[in-house]
Amino acid sequence: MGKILVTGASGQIGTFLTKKLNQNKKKIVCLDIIKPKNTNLPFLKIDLKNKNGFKKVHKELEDIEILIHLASTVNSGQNVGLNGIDSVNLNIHGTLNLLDNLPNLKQISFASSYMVYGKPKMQIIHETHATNPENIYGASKLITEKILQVFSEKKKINLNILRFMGIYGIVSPYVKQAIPSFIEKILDKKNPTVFGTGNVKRNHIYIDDAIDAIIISINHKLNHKLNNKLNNKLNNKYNIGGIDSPSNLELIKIINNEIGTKIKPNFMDSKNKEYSFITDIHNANKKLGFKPKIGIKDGIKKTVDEYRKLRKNDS
Amino acid sequence: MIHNIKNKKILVTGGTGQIGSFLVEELVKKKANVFVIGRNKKNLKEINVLVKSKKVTFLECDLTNNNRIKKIKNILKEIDLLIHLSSDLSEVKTNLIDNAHFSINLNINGTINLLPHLIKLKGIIYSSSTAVYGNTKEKKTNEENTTNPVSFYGCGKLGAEKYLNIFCNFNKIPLTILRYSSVYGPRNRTNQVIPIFIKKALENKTIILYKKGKTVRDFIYISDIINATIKVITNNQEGIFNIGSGDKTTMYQLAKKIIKLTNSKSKISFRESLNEINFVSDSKKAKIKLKFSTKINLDKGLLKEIEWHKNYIVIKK
Repeated sequence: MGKILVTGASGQIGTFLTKKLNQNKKKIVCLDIIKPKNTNLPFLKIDLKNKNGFKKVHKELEDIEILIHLASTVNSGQNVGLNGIDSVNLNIHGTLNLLDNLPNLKQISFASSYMVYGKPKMQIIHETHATNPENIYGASKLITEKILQVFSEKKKINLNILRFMGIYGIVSPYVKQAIPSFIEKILDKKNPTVFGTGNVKRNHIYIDDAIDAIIISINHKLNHKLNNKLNNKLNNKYNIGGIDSPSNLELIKIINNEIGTKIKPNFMDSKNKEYSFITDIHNANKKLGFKPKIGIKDGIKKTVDEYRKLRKNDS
Repeated sequence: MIHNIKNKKILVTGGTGQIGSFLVEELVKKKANVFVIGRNKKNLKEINVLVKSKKVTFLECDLTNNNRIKKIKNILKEIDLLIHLSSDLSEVKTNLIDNAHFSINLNINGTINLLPHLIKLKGIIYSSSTAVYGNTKEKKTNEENTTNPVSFYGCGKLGAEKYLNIFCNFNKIPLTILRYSSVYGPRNRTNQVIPIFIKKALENKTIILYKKGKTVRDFIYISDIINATIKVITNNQEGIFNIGSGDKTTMYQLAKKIIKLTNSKSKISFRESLNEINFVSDSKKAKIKLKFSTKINLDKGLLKEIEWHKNYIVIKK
């Protein structure tokens, strides 16, 4: 297998992924704006937005054959006037800058998001669901998917688009999703905040399963001939989600059980209408052989352990 | 959305282009207070008369340049309705990625840069394109169809649609997206198939067809486009609308028609090609909600465009 470039390598997912790839003896190069901690892997300090920044790493990128593209803005707000441009410049133009500097690319795995779909029209979301993103993050991910699609078809490059459900099991300073925020509160013996009724469900995916999906995808070659024949561009887009689809109230119960507490949530009215979001992962299972292994209880246990370890080290 | 046009402050981006110039003329007739944004005042062409007579205010501004936009912000903050046409069909750069940057920058960055300045806005009409659908083969395509653009131009248009959608939801502004089929008629200065065929026919040169001339397209005459756009305002309609004729025309039929209408001695020759985009629009939704129907058929419309090219070529010589 050729050399792998991981963008966003210093992020939470990137850190776990590069560690695992390194254990598997893959040749990898890390790319990020910040140097990754605790690793001696080859590292390129590049801001994807800056076209000229690539000039100095021309040689290092020449023999990259596989791209795992994680680098992205994280703002999932709706204020286009305020935050829209950042998402376009990094996620879309940044991706184009990257593609322009990988002359021997053969394979791409792109980390997209369930947010490309927008408001669900069905109970279980298949990859064919309409894509009407309701926030900036979803829009920028969707259009990045589209430019990668056009590029990979013109250049005959294998492309796999992974539409991730919310990933948990990592301690991210940027993304405050349900599970980490509930755990933090309950560990502090405070009431976690639940927006709306708390009955909305998600098939959250544990970090290890998410990383498995990425590693499987870089080995997956799309059959171009078959793809053209079917004219079905949906067959390289994969929902990646977890086994269970707990509601927020169920999550709080599981976390309480794990920690040995009985802390009740605070209910708050939600500004935006909250809805259940469960993605259908059959396509990824059938075509990539992806199978999540960690159920919600195990995943929460591991995550709580992570937090406890972290807090022990901090104190 | 605003219901009537009279005295409303309407900003038309890309107002010097084919659709823009005809639309501006129509809006002036309907007594709107029209502002036009264009990249270069040297490109005013047909609307120069209206700008000189002060019936239209021209704002020279490149929407991809934030500093330029800030210079006209006092005008922008008073605008009632934005009709956003600004775009560029031609993928001009030789490098694939440069073209992609160009399309994304013009369509998405340009749109997002403009939006925060329009603080009194009551509606947006965005002129998108059926390029957002990609290659749909020969079946009629409606607004619910999946969007898989096969060009960076289509990606740029789709991106602008998506960001506009989020902006309008967030700020509670009515949004209408019009996905135009292939527009033709006078003032067509593009390098699209009809102008190419007409020029060849007028010079009795061979017309080249790909894929045995079987590629189908949906052509819609410029005045029908203007009509549909005005009807969005008068019928106060939001949402996505395909605006097309719904008629399948093969490239072979088109070439034959143009040769006949120009009394040309041009021959047709066939070549192989990788990919040609087929598209036929299903515009039922526009028919029902906008009460829109096309009035000019292809023969009649082509004759008008041919006449225009004859004069235009003479002027250019």
